[in-house]
Amino acid sequence: MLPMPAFLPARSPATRPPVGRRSLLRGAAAVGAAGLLTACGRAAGASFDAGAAPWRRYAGTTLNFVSENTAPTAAIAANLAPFTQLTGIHVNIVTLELSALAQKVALDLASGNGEYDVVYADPYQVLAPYAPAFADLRDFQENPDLPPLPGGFGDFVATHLDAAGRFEDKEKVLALPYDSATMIWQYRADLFAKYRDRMAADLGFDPTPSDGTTWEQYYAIARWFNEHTDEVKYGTGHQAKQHDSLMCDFSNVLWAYGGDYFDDGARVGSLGATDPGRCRLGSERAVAAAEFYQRLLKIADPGSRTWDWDGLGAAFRAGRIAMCPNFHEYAASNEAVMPGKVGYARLPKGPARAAGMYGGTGIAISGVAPKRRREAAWLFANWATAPKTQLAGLASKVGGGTPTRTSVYAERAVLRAEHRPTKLPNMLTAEAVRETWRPANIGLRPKIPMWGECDTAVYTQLSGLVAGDSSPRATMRATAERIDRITARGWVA
Amino acid sequence: MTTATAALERGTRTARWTVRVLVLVALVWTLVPLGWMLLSSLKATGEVTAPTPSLSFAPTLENYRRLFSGGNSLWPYLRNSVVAAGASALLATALGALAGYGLARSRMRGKHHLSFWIISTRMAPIAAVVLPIFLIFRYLGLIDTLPGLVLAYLSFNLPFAIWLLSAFFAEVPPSLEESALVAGCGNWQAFRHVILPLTRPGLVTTFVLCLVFSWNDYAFALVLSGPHTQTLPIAASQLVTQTGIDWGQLTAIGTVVVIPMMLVGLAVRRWLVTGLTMGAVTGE
Repeated sequence: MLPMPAFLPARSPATRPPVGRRSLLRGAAAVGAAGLLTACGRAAGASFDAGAAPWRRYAGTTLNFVSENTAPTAAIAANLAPFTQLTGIHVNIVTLELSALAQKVALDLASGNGEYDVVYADPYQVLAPYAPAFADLRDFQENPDLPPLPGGFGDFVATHLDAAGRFEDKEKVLALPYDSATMIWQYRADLFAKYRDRMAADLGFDPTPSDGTTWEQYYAIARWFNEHTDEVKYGTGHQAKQHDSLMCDFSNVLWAYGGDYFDDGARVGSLGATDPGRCRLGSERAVAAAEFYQRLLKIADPGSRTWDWDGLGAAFRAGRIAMCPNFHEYAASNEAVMPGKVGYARLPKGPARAAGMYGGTGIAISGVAPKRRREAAWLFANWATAPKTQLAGLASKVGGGTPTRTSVYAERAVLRAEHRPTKLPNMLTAEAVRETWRPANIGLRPKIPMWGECDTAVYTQLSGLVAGDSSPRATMRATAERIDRITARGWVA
Repeated sequence: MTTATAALERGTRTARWTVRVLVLVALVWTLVPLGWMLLSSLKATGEVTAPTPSLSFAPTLENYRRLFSGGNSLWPYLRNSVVAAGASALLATALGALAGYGLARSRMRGKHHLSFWIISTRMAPIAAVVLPIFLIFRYLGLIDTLPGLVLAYLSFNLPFAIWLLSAFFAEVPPSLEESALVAGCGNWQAFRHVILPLTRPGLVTTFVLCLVFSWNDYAFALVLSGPHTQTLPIAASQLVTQTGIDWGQLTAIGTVVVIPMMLVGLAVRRWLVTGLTMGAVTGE
């Protein structure tokens, strides 16, 4: 009640309104609403029954898994029932766009909140910056009270385990490889077959994509399509929007031409580093790569400058372009729209090597969560990356990723699916991605804690190059300077 | 009819037509995107992104069925949005009315500075305050709770409500309260039975605006919500995936987000129009 001003006469008890039924009801409603709001709050805690079987010990626990909106997570979300039946554990899955996820995880880990038990640990935006906040998964694998990984860590593709699962330390495993998006060459096999002889005669080489094809030949093929056919508007398209995708697209060429971001690029890419040393984008090889990339984009579909990987995938499926470098997990969408018309190969090679950008991710267990919850989270991480689950994900109607385990690729059904007709269309890319995952061909961007900022510097400068606003040399020099300034600040997790 | 009168009539007619055309443009500008969203939400997946969009199609509720079924049903998001936005708007209006009335009737020095200071807290970008709020809420155990979201929304709705309502209360002549006091009312009774009914358009306007601000919030919900308290804007953002955007479901969720606010607006349009007009002409 508001205080009564002094100049006003005090009210007599007779004028004070009695506490009537309506007031009472109002008060009760307010208390009820407050109670309801409070009840909506979260209830935490891990159930534990030491006498139960290893998979059932945490029955009744509710875990929180935060993930980017990816196909594997969509498949897992649609297929959670077997896990709940097996363990009695319920899993809440929160999916977010990657930058929102990175922000959320950063707050959760840095504040010690421990809301999320299992984290989709993007190697560059989550794993590298917050590595100390994740549990070492070897502790769970070696714990006799917990079910071990079927096939052990060694069943994962070795390059995936290093790139998505480790940071700096070759021994520690901080995440289990969960998805494996990798850039490969996607082309209209029907058009290549139709014009193969004409192209071969005009260009002087067999245009059929193969391990021997070079980026210069890719350029010549793209130009041939521009000039000789109306079935597609342009020969090539690229994910050259001012976005992370531009860095991905350019890096394939950079590595092929022998350039790299840092001196020890292979180590910085696979295991990662907190202090990567000086940036080497100013090198002659990097400049040569930038010169070629600028030339290539000049003959590419002009829409390239507005496309990320998804826009590029849509343009390819719409029949605008004859070929493009893109992530292999678009194969299922390609096959749905253009059945039997798309071929897949490793990306072309340059003077130094062939390289395809790896964009895989792992799932990690929060080190901030209480011990029992971490153990329950292990059961989920174990199950989510198990061969059986990965196989189910491949066949999932809601998407599903591609396996990260070698044993799954050796399955008879999966081997059969590598050729048409197939019920697992992503497996049409298996040969191309397996070839790309070889240590000699894998393209690994720097796994450094400050990569998010460096990435922005890279694609911002490259967008100027693609637009023709700056020369290759100036672009590379400016990018290197910016990256050096960023890495010079260091990183304290 | 004189030449001057004819010219005047011509001018009036031109002005009338100009207004009509401008209103039509404004309507098209506002309604076409909403209509397009509604139509797209009723199309099958392939038709939404067809290179040549068509107005002739077989409508389907498939996008809505997918939204409200399965493991990612929209119901919990909808419930959270209704509770968080509704409770926050109610609290902001109630507390804003008390504070706004006090501010309007106060004769203290620096009243206008105080009023400006209150609204200035609304001017800080959310990004600037979200981290401190996260840390405070973490300390208080309010992360991933609906009371936490209500409190967060209240933090940006309350200054706005106080500022807006104090302007409405300032329009009411103090003599009305004085009459009520002379007739034996207490301060609270005068406020409750005389002032509040007179400022109903202002209260409704404030409530609706606070409701809309909270309903559409993404930034606070992203940081402060969790698995149990995610709201509709977060659900919408989840449809932008790594490998594409589900336009069918996105337009369906857009429709679900917009329709309740449109219904609320229509239900209180009489007071809303009056309230917005009053607010527009006030000098406070």
